[in-house]
Amino acid sequence: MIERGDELVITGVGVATSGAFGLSAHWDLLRDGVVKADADAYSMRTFKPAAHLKDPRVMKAVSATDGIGLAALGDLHRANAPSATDYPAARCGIYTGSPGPVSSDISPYLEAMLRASDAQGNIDGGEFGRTAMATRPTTLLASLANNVLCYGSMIFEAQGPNSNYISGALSGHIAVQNAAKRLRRQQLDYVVAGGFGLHTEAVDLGMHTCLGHVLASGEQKLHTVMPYEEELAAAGGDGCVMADGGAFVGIERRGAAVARGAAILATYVAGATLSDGLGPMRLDPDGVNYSRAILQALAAAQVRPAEVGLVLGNASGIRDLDRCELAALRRVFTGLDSPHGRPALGMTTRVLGNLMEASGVLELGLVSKLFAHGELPAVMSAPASTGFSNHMDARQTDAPYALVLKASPWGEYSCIVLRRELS
Amino acid sequence: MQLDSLPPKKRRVVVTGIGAVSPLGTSMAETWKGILAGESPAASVTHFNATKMPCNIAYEVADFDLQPGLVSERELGFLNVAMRYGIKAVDEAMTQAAYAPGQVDPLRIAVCLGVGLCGPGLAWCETILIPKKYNDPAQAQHIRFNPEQLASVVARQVGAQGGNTTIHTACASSGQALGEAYEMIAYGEADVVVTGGADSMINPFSMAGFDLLGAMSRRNEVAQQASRPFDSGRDGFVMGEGACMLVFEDYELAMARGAEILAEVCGYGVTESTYRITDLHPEGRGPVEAMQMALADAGLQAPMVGYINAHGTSTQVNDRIEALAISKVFGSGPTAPLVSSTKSMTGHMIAAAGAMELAICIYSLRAQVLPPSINLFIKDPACPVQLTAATATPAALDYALSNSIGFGGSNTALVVRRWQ
Repeated sequence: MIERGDELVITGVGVATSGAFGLSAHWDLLRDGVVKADADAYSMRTFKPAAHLKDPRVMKAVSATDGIGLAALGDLHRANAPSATDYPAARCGIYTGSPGPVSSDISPYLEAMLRASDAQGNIDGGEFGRTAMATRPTTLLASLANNVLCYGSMIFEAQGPNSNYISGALSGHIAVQNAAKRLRRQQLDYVVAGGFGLHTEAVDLGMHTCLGHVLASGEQKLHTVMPYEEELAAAGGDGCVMADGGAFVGIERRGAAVARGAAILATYVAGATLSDGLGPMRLDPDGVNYSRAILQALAAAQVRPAEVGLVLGNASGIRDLDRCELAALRRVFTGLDSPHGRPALGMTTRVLGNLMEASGVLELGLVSKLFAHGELPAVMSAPASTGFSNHMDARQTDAPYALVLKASPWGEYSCIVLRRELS
Repeated sequence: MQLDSLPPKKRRVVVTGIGAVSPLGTSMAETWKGILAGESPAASVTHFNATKMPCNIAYEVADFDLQPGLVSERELGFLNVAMRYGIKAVDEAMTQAAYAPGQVDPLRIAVCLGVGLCGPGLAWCETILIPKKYNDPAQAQHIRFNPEQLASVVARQVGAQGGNTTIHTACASSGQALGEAYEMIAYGEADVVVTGGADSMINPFSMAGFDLLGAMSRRNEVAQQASRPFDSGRDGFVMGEGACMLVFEDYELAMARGAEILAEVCGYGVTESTYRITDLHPEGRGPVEAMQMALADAGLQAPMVGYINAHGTSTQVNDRIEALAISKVFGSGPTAPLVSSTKSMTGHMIAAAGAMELAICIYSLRAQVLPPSINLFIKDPACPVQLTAATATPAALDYALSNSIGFGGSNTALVVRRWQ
């Protein structure tokens, strides 16, 4: 057994999405069921970084995507950062989940490149250079996927182990899980982990649309995202709504967190990641390996399914993926057939859309708030047809554990087990 | 299954397969042969018309053909050229590792890769970007520029269900992927990890971008001698491309199935310099601690390491600071390990560099030979390290260390032990 002081605890969440800024503001949004149905609401194209991030040395080298990540990190830093005397820099680490670089962030440079080429594709490097330099001298740097890791390490003085993952919708979860492993192995004392992305710009949105993952309405109406609703999905409601955002958590050991007076949001207990191994955009509709990922995480946490009071699902709105998720959950919670026997099943996607790399991270900070609230707000509740509850009131002490799930149409699955913090 | 509720006991990690597609050849054996011969196949770029680029030379992969049947036509649509190199290298590595069907539980096989960003070419700009045809069905093919596609196809290729991880920390990507793969096995999360890197940045955007940063050599007229790590006349790196894949395996499993063990991975260090995106800290902060961490993880004293494959890009700043960092950890006297950078022969394979260079360390240990330092005309006195000779030289080596240093400040060091 782990000594209580060595338990890993989440002591802060930094989050920036198109809907709100900061954990409390997001909770207000979710609790009150504020659904942003305007397509522009999910885009952060007009996002402006916080003042303290406007170091010219930083801003000249980062993209709009990076700005979102740095905003979320800035929020976490204000709310939670340990001081330089709490932990040595070499014992602090940062783990990020980022998107690939091909987005409108670099489109101006690609256009400049094309303009500098002749009919034979012969590029005049000098002309391209002059055009690019006129816009921003650090053309290439804006396309680097690990800028946020670099500048985040400076913000948090994190000189220890680090990594940056590009694993689609699981990126943020993989970052959190691997950061937690480093803490568990006593290789670090404090970690910052999470993800960020910008997916509403034309290049990326077009790609996901062509791949058939985006809601076909064309208007990006979020209220039409109805995860687990088979009939609605069949009637044209099949697909997700892409969203921009960043979310990071701070994790440390309970004893040290208490000693420095940090607020504790939840206990990080364990995590697991598996895949179907079927290749790109192929998944097992029966959710066998998805359920195994959940069961592995529960086993690592030494928690029984009956002790789980809350599941925050991936709930993308992509029919095949949601169907797979529901099948996996039914495998895990089979035998707990009465409505009271199954945990509450909820989601954030109907309010926040598909945050991709940032998804499944904000939820790590919401768990204790949801338990304290006693039931899932209507906009977060799975439909009754799933057989899962939306209440936690009778189960607060018997079932204090929560699962936060992530999944992708590539047949990749992640599960993080948390324990609620009793006030 | 390993519980992650307590720090588990470390397990030993061995290498049982290596495959490569590099500018020196389309297998690891060909690559090693080129290293021993001190070849430098750099030449004018042929992948695109680069004649008007300030730097128009590169180390390109030649005569590459993806063997039919390795991937389906559908999967090919998800793979850019670097990823195709990766598929070939995985096939070679897995063939060498020689698993019998059903020998390993698929849930205990993971994939952990460092993959480059590649980037679209002019054709995409012309047909999609400029006319803003983002909803054109062809835009679906853009998915091949998302680095995580390779891990997904590799998982299918090798039958891995233990999770896919794709890392990108610029030039440290595959060094970091190897390090995380090593830890997955050492700490019981997987029994086999297919790991390595793949990249190709020989495209207009990347070449022009690096040139704007002043990082690339402009010695177009002497392409084969342009990459000259630790030479006083170095003026930047020369772009390479390719893939290198390794099979890491739990020692007990490898022994139980009678696998040929190529080397043992015994130490990993990773740090963040927290300084600047492109510059190294002037005192070598970051690389110093990564090397110290790797040595401590391996339980080694510095003099036990016989060879260091440096990141050695051939830029003024990298080579000087890295050499300083090496000398701080290992000293610079006669007992210090010999150092070389094989980027003078492979070019800078960016996200694939770390994997390629650890594979070269393993081949050095197996052959008991130090790779040559080619293109070293006048050693830079500001680089306080002992470099290997101009030709491959026999040496008694037990341990080798490979450094990777990335834009963005991530530094890795990996230690491998000779297997006898």
